[in-house]
Amino acid sequence: MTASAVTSPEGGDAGNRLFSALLISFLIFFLAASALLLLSNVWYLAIARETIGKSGWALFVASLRSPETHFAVKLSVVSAAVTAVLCMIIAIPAAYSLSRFRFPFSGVVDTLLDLPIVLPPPVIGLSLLILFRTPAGHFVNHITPQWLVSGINGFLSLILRERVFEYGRWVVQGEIWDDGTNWAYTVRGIILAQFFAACAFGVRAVKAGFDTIGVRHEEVARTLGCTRRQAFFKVVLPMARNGIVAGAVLTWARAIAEFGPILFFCGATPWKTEVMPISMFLLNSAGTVESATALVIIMILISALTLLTFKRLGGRGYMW
Amino acid sequence: MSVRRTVIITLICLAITVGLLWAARAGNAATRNQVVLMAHAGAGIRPALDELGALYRQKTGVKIEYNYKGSGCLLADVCASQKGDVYMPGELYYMQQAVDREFVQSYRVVTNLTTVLIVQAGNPKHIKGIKDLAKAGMRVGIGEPEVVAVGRAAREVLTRAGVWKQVEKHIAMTGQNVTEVSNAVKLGHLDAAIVWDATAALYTTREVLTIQIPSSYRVVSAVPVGAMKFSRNPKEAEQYVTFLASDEAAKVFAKHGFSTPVPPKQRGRVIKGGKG
Repeated sequence: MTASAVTSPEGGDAGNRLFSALLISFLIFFLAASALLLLSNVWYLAIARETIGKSGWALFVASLRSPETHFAVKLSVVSAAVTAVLCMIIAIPAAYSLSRFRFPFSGVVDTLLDLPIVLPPPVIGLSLLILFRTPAGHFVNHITPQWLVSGINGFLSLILRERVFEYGRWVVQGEIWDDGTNWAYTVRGIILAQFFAACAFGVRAVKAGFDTIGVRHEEVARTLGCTRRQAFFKVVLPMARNGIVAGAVLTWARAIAEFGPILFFCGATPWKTEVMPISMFLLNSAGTVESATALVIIMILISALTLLTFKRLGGRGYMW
Repeated sequence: MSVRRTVIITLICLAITVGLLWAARAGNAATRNQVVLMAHAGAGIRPALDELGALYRQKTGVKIEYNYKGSGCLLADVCASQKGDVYMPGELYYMQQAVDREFVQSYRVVTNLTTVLIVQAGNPKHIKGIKDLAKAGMRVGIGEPEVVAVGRAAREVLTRAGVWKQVEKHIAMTGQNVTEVSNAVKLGHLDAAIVWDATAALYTTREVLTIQIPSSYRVVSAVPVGAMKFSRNPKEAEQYVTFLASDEAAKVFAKHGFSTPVPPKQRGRVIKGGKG
């Protein structure tokens, strides 16, 4: 797009154009820097033959084909999806209440709600780890039914299982073993960590959606004979669709990007709590920066795909 | 309309419940009679430990799950979670902390980590030994001395060589785990770093170059392994510790670059904890 396309109606004079060009040049600079930042991974892989004597393309393909990568991608996608659904179940009623009702101590409510957004993510992980050693955590462990644990683990095993040729024989990896009802260092703990890190974003996005819908719509629906419940489900929810989609995608994106809380609360255990960022951390810890880079490129592709899908779904505006 | 919707929702709920129960059965069938041990381990020695875990699973059917992190972080983790079966930090110092808190009752020394110097591939700064790190313009990396075992060892090496005061000014980064430091050399951000022999063994000579440190300055650090008191399978945890002290495990450690072995007699010794 050229600068002239955005000049003001009365304009066309050189000064205005120059100013527009100046503004756009900042955008172009930022875009170029971002693109370079992301593409540097590809660049680094491309020169892998010089650094470690292997072709970067071969490393990328090997990473794509690696059962451990498959495990990490599946675990990331599934856990983030479950987290997003759970967050939405909480966020829609919570956001609606925030948008419509007056609360005492609204400052405190607001601050508590936004804290997870501002806090460094590892804080959430360490707090969870500590929570589960207090009586409250013991109580949660105590009331967690064994059938639920077995069900979740069995379900995950069905999805995550991979056959791996390791040290001279085939073994099944990625089965989630029955580890009792304690939540720390478990796969289901990932969902807990992601939930606390991501849910606040979901509430904010959905609330923004509700805020744009005037109370009048509900009031009109109710004068026409709707109950409060009917007005909510038939009028408000469909109108807030964009905000809800934005909230769901935002929580999903936050959840899939989460690293710190999972590192602390679930540990960095290969073939168990190895979501994509943890996998990258483990590859880096083993000195294989190139393989970590290959995984980074896979993560960029998945994120880009998510964003494109989101835009196709029509969720614009509320996200940022 | 409303009845149909109720029926559909009920059916979906039913299907989910049946699916979960079925998955639970399938999952239980797969994991019945399985012992899984959780081991807190230093992140830098993953290749050796992964191989030992796979080997042990092949031999006994017991599965080992590692939680990999920097040695110093492990203890904080365990304090907060009070969970785990086996504890293997990179240095006695951290084991002693665990013993003091009575997380570990007894341990064995299974192998040694030895400090080496690594420089960029091709050695562009012509570093010949530890004392060259004191030269002007060097960018040196070590582990954070308060957090990771290799950082404490690096400070010790440089102090023994009498160049700590000069080199301290050239320290451009301190890593939270040992591979963070070695990767920085590999990526060309640092000229040299002091890391473990097993860390240097992760790379080919095209990535980083290893320079041995003379035995008078070198730090050899014992790698202790102990069963934890929280273990729900204390017998199996103790058996895994014994396996790590075996000759078979020693061969795997040697293969992965642990260049200073522990004599078999010393490996057999069980060190009892006690306030110390």
